[in-house]
Amino acid sequence: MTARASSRLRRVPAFAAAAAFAISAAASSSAAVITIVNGNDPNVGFNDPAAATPVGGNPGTTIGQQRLNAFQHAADIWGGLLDSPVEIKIRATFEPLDCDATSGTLGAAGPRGVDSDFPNAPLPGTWYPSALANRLAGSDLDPGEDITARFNSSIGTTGCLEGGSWYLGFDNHAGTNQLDLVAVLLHEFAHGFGFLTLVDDTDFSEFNGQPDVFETHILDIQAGKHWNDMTNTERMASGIHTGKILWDGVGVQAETRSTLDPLPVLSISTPASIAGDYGIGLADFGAAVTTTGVVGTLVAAVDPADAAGTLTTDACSPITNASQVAGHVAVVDRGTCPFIDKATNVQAAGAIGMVLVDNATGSVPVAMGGDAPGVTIPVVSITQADGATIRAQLAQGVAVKIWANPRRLAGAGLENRMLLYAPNPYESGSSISHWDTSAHPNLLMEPNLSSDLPHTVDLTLPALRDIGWFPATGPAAGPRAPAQRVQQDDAPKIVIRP
Amino acid sequence: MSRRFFAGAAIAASLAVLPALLLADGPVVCPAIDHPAPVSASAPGIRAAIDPATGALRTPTAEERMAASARKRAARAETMRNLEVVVHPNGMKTVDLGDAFLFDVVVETAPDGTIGYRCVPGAAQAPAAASKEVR
Repeated sequence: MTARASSRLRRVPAFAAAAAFAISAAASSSAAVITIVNGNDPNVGFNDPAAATPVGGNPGTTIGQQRLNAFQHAADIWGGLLDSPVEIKIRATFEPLDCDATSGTLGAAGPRGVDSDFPNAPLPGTWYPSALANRLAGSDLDPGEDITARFNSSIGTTGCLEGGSWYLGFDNHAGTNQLDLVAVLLHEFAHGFGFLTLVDDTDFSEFNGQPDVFETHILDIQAGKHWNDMTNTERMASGIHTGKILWDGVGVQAETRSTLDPLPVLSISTPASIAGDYGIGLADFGAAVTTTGVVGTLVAAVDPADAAGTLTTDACSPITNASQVAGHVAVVDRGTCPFIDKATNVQAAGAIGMVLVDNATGSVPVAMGGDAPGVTIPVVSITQADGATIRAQLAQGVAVKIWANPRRLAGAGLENRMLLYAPNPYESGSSISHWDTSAHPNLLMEPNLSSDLPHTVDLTLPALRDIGWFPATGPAAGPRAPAQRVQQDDAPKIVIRP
Repeated sequence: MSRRFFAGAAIAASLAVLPALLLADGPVVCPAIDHPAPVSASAPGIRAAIDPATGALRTPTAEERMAASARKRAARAETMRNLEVVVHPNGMKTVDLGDAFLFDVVVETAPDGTIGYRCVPGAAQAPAAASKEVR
């Protein structure tokens, strides 16, 4: 690997007023040189001269320098991991983006260009993001920047998400309501390196009639096809095949078992008519869902229909059938009051666990936020549809186990292949171009970036390996597994014997 | 989210490269410019939102995500309309995507004060998104 200068100064003609300069990945051990091209004008953005105190290993003494240092730090992390003989250029700006008191865009990034049928292209007629295409071609096919990144300089100022602020340290120690810029950048840069599909999210046509390299790894086990082998209509239907869309790449597949935890599920053993594993959403509070789990019978918790909650099933008030709930797993409906209030109430009634039924349609069980140190029982959620199925059988007695099934991985499907995010309805941009939110521990490329993400790239790196970022790998090196049509849930059903 | 387009339409772009090609040695082969069908691509990004009642960052609701998705599709369709595919003499195709495939990151405050980010397609005025819902 060619060692390059650790930093350089560079003009950006397109922005004549900008005091443009660039900083490259500094680590001499970098396998790729990633250059941040500063596109800001003087005195703003990366050039903001406002004084700042060094924080979390970021030595900058101005806001602008700290921002640029954070970008460089993220670039250094990726630069030390990727492999390319061609400099990767990221055009970056820190500028006011749309924002108001209650919401706003933090930033955005993505590939600046795509190429196909370039010299040494592994797959003909296939789009590659320009940074990857350059690597594969061994030359800079598109002089200029490969990735665009623009971030919001107004965060935390009057009228713009005043409750939040950027955390510019390198140590992963963002405080409450601080936004860890390095973690966000690691995610965003990955999209620029190729972690995305270019498939149109309205009619599901391929970009200019050609597949993209990411798309060639999208396998729908329900349809039994890869996305690049589908018609537009088939891709549209496939986009909402929740739990059936897998990443078909040997690099990721090889690392899922060492990365992912056992899959938390709600297993029903009786009645037989509804027996099986049900997907669950986890809570930030309460007991962890373990491989041992909690075994019990489901009982609907009842509470008064009052000002706290108008339904007798919402558990927003103290439970009135505590004698029935005690020692069992309480079923409650979502709505009106916070999750933590419901959990507190059913726990006070003696429940050994809580299953929350969503009050809105959706294919993904809600992940429950909140902080409740006093809640010590496991709290999980299920979809509205599954809740209806289960509630209909409560009178017969529903035996359940809330546990982490060691035979399955949280976030993976058939043959330990990673699940891609495919909720129903389709979420433009979020769907498919991210890992599924069932992944545990949280992964860098989930659509919801967890605030506790470490500054590591977990399964993102093998995904980039699969699309060609390293020698002797990628689609040209390893044939994809043949598509398989799976009519039923691919996971084995679990039957609990009392 | 704005997008930087190639300057001008296809003809204008072709004319723009012509002088340079005429100055080159050897046979002049003009890169062809193909017009891709309008598409509304997906682009990753990041946003956030604050609960008006508590001032805490929160995750977007499903309804907010759907509304954002619809807005983004419409915005991106417009964004993508003028992308051009340049076909080089060796058969290579290149497309300057500008900002068409940027992924926004949005964030919202939750009632419990926690922060969450969500990555969504760019090119639109989407409502904030965030980590997790709390009710």
